[in-house]
Formats: sequence, structure tokens, C-alpha cells
Amino acid sequence: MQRIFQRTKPYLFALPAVAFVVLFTYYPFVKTMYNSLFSINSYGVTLRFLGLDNYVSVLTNKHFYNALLNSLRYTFIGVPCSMFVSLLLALLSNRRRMFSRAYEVMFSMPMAISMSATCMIFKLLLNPTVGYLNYALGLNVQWLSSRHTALFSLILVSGWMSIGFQYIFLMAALRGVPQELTEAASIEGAGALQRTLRITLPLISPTLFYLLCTDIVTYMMMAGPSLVLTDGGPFRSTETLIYHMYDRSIYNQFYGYGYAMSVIIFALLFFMILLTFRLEKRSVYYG
Amino acid sequence: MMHQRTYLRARRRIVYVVVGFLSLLIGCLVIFPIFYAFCTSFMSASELTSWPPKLLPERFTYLDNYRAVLTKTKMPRFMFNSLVLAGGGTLLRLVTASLAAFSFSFYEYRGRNALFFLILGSMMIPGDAVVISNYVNVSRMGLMDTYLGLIVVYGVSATNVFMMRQYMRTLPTALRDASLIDGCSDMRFFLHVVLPCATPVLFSVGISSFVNLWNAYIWPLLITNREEMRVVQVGVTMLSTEDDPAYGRVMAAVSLILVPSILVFVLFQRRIVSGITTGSVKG
Repeated sequence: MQRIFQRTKPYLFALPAVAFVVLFTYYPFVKTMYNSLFSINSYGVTLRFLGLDNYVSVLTNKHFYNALLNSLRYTFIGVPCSMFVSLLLALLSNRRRMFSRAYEVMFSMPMAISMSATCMIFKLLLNPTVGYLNYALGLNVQWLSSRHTALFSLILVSGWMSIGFQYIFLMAALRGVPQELTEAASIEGAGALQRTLRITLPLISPTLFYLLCTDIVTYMMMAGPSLVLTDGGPFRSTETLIYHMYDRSIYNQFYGYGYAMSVIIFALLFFMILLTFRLEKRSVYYG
Repeated sequence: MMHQRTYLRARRRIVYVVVGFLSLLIGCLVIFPIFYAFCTSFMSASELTSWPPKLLPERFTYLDNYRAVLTKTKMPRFMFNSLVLAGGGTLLRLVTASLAAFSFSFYEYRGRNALFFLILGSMMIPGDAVVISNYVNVSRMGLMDTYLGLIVVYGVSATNVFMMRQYMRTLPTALRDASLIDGCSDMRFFLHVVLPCATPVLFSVGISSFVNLWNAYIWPLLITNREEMRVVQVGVTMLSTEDDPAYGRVMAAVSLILVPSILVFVLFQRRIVSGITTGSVKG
């Protein structure tokens, strides 16, 4: 008896963590795939086998394509722009300078601010009449209430939210670049731009790649700002994939549609990450 | 020669000050939205809607917005709910992760790596891909509008397990042998030797987990219907209505929920940074 207990002990220690992972990640994941083949009533009860009908109804819904296009736009504009800004900030604060303790904290501060607080702040800031942004820039833009600018405004808000996190990673990577390399290049007569492009960037490319992957996932999965700021509008111009999924399944009880969409989104992301890994082979340098 | 050296030194000094100052200005631009939220939280409705829009309030002692948030809305209750979610969830995560990490780093057994990769593999499945299933499951378990329902999906974090394992593996195995010889049971060894040694990692994992859960939005939004069960992140977005945007009140609420995260962030910045970048940055 004692011996059995001795042998099962390590399993018992790992059990709680494993149980949570299985119950709230793997089991729902399998269930999502399974249920996507069935018709589900509004109480979430599985009724009868449908085959791929749920998938067909997703893939023939024009609002799905609208949401897909919005998410892709959002990702392909938002990720590169925010990473570029964070990279500039990280390069700027690479060396210790006057006030560097202060501005390092400032650059990474957005990380501490929650999504909904950020959205509420920007809701006022972007308000066309009482907000400060139009006044400060001398513009008269209907940031969140025009179908032409709403998605762009959400990109701005999300960009602000992601620079803190990106900045921290990029700065940690930059601090790891050996000084001798850049100094040697500088003695050889390489300018600052050349040193950055030819030496620093290749050396931090693993971190850039890591951020690219995590950000593609985050941006493709964005729903919060759409829920809080625009409700997917105006005219569905900010309806993203996950927003569309919630809207159909949890708010309108088309669970089958939602399950099929979860699987489609998962497959899409998987495919995008695979593509990114292809890119890694060609352009990421592991010293 | 001498001349050139002083020239270079002076130039470097100028760069040190000028670029530093410039960076500080850009830093102010980055945190401008936060500054703006604090300022507008002290403005009355008429100040807020005046033209041109003002940046600084007339006086920083106008506290009506804060008073209204704390007495006329359920904000205190929302904060309590968030505290339960973030505190309870963090505690649960620390328990599950430290036990699992302990098992993975101090024992040799069949299936150890398989279990470890099973936990790590959960990172491949984004939360949003399983949220509908979880929603249906948890609500059918009757946990809608309960604290347990809020917390239960956050029971373990794969990154926490990973980081703790990395840390515990650096502890010498001789520790365990010594305590076994002294007749110390495994549980006592875990509680009295391993955990005290692992305080730094417990601390940084705990902080980042707390901030993450404090900021969680979508799951709490879905799993709560009753107003009393809302968390702050959800509650703060529901303070304004179509007719009354109540900007001042909203900004006061925003400022209230920002204070704890900003304080934690400024105080423990180094630790949080090293906590999240460990193992993922190679430069």
C-alpha cells in the first residue's frame, strides 16, 4: 500500500494542473469539433447529425467574409505598424541616457492598462466634439462613428495597447546584442542606419519573429474593442471574426454556427502561423 | 589630440542629455491617454463639454465624479468581484502550477514528459477557440453568475507551469536527498524547502497572473448576467448610456481601476519584465 502511494505521488502532484488543462482546454476543443457536425438547439443541447451543414452555412454567409476581411485588414495593418513603433521606441532607449529609468517605464506603461479602460479613455479622446484629439490635431474626423474610419480607429487603440508588451521584449533583446559587434562596425565606418539594419535587426530577429507570431494570433482574435467601442458597427465595418462568432452563437443562440466558426478560425490561425514559420526559415537568424 | 578628445566627450554629453530629453517627451506622448483620463476625471459635466476641449481641470479637488462612482453606481461591488476573481484565480494558479512544476522537476516517472507537454500544448489552443464550449459547459454546471464560474476556467496557466519548472530545475537535487534522509515527507519538503526557495518566481508569476486576471474582459462578460456579479472591466464599460455619456464619471471609474495596476507596474517593473521575457528572448 505504502509503495503504491509512493509511486503514484508524482502523478498526484501533477494531477490538478493536468485536470484543469483537460477539462477547460482539450475537452471543450474536442467537443467544439464534434459539435460542429451537429445541429444544436438554443439551450446548447446537441440534436442530430448534420455533417458539414454548419460549415456550409458559415462559408456561404456574406457577413462571415466581411468579418474575415475586417480581421485580416486589422491584422495586416495593425501588427506591422505597432511593431514598427515599438521597435523605434526600443532603439531610442537602447543606451542608458538622461531620464532613461523614467521613459523606459513610460514606454512600457500601456501594458499595465486593461483593454476596457483603454477603450473608455479612447472613447472620450476620439469623441468628435468633446474629445481632445480632433481639437489637438485641428481635424474634424468622426473617428468611431464613420464606416470609413472606425476600423482604423480600432487599429489605433489596439496599437496603443500592444506597444508596451512589444517594447519590453524588443528592449530585452536589444540589450542582449553584444556591444563589440556594433562598435566594430562603427569603426569600419558603418553609419547608424546601416548598423541597425545589418547587425542589430538580424540579431534580434528571433524576438521579432516571436512577437510577430503572438501578435498575429492576438489581432486575428480581437473582439474586445469592437464589443466595447463600436458594437461591430457602423454598418458592420468593425465586425471581426470573433465578434461575429459571439454575436451569432452566444447572443443569437446559433451554437452550431459558432462551433463551426471556432474550428474554421482555429484552422485559419494554424495555417497563418505555419506560413510565418516558413518565413522564419528564410529570415530569422539564430546565432 | 587633446582638443579632439574633449570635443568628443562634450558631444557625447550633449547626445546623452538631448536624446534623453527627447525620449522623455515621446514617453509623455505615449502615456498621454492615461494622463488625460486622470485629468478629465476631475472635470464637471460643463467643463467636459466646453469648447475648446480642456486638458487640465479647473481644480484637482472636484471630486463629485468619484463620489458618484462610489455611491451611486455598483463600482465598489464590481471591484470586490474583480478582487475575488484575480485573487482567487491567482492563488489557484499558483497552487496548481507549483505542484505540477514540483512533480516535473523532482521526480523521475513514466509519462512525465508526456504530461508536461500536454500542459504546454494547451498554449496552442487559443482561449477564444473554446470559449463557446466552455460557456455552454460552465453554464450547464449551474455556475452562471457565480465566483466559481468566473474563476474555474483560469485554473491553470501553462506559462506559469513552464516558468516554475524552469526555476525549480535549477534547485539542486541534493536538497531532496538530504531531506529524505532526515525523514522529511514529500509534502513537507515541498512546503518548507521548495516553496521558500521558489519565492522569487512565485512572486513574478503571481503578479503577472493577478494583472492578467484583473484585466480579463470577455469571459467575465459572458459568464455573468446579473449586475451584482460584474467585474470592474465589464462594469466600467456600462456606466454610460446613450442619453448620458457620463464621461466624468466613467473617467473617475477608469482612474480608480488604473491606480492598482499602475502602482504594481511601476513598483515591480523590473520583476515583471524579467518574468515575462525569461525563456522567450534570445538576443
